[in-house]
Amino acid sequence: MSLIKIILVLLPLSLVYVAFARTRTTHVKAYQRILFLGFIAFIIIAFVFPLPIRKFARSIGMPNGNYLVVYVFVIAFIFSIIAIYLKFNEMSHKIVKLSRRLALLESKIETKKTKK
Amino acid sequence: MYCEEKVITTVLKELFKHFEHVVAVDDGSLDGAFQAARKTRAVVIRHPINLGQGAAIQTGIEYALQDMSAKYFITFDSDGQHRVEDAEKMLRVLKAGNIDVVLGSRFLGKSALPFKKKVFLRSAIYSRNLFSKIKLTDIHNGLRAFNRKVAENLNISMAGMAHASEIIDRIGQYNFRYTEVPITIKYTAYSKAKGQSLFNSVNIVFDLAATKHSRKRP
Repeated sequence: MSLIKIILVLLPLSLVYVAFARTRTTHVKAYQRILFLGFIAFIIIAFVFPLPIRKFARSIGMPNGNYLVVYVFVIAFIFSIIAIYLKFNEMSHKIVKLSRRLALLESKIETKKTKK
Repeated sequence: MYCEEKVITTVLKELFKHFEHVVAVDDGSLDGAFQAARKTRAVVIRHPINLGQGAAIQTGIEYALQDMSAKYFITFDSDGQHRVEDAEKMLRVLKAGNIDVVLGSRFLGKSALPFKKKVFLRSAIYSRNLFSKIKLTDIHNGLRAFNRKVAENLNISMAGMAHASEIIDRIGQYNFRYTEVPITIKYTAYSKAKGQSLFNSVNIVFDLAATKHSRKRP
C-alpha cells in the first residue's frame, strides 16, 4: 500500500477521533460549519473547475476527479452521522435529567399529600 | 422496575421482612407495576417515560440521598432474581467497615447460569479485566451495596445497561475500597424471559466506547 493510500485511509479515522473528542468544546458548532462550508466549496469547485480537481486526484494516485469527490462525500457522510449521534446522545442525557427531576418532584408532592 | 406487575409485590414484601426502607423506581412501566408497588410500604418513584436501568438506579440513589441519615445503599433487581439474604450478607460486610462497595458475584456463588450466558459473561469479564485496574469475577450483576460516600459520587450517566461498567469505572476513579461476595441468582422462567438479549452487549460496548471517548476532554 502506497503512502498516499495509507494517509487517505487514516484521514477519515482521525477525523472520527477528533469529532468524538471535541464534542465538549465550545468550538464544536464552528468546526462543523467550517467543514460543511468547505465541503460545499469543494463540490462547487469540482463542478466548475474539474481540471485542477482531476490533476490533484491523479497526483495522489486516484484515476480521476470522481474518486476524489466520492471520497470527500464519504467523509462528509461519516461526519454527519457522528454529529447526529452525538446530538442525539446529548438530548438523551437532557431527557433523563429532566424526567428524573420530574419524578423526584412528583414523589415529594405525593409524600406531602399522604402526610396531610 | 419495568413491567414487573407479576412479581413486584412479592419482591417488595420480601425486602420489607429484612429492611426498613425500600425505594422502588418505576421506569415508565406499561403494566400495573406502579400501582402494585404503591400498595406496599415502599416509596415508589415513577419515571414519566422509560429511561433505562442505569437511569432508574441513579434516581433511586438521588432520592435516598435526600435522607441525611441514610448510610448504606443497596441496589436490588425487581424481577425476583436476587435473594434478600444475599443483600443482608452484603450489608453485613459493608457495615464491618474498611469497605466502600460490596459487589455480588454469581461466579463465586452457586448460581446455575444458562450455558450461553455463562460463556458470554465469562468472556466479557475476562476482556474487561484486561483493560481495567479493577479485577472482578462478575460485572453485570445488579446486586450491590455501598456507603454514602460512594452513593454521592456514582453519578451514573449511562441510562441503559452500560451503567454496570460505569459503576466499576467510578470505583477505580475514586479508589473506593471494594470486595466481592458470592451470591446466588434465581434463574426462573420469568427472569430468563425478562433478561436482556446477549446481542444487547454490542450496544453496551458501543455506548461505553463513544461516551468514554467523547468525555475525555473537558
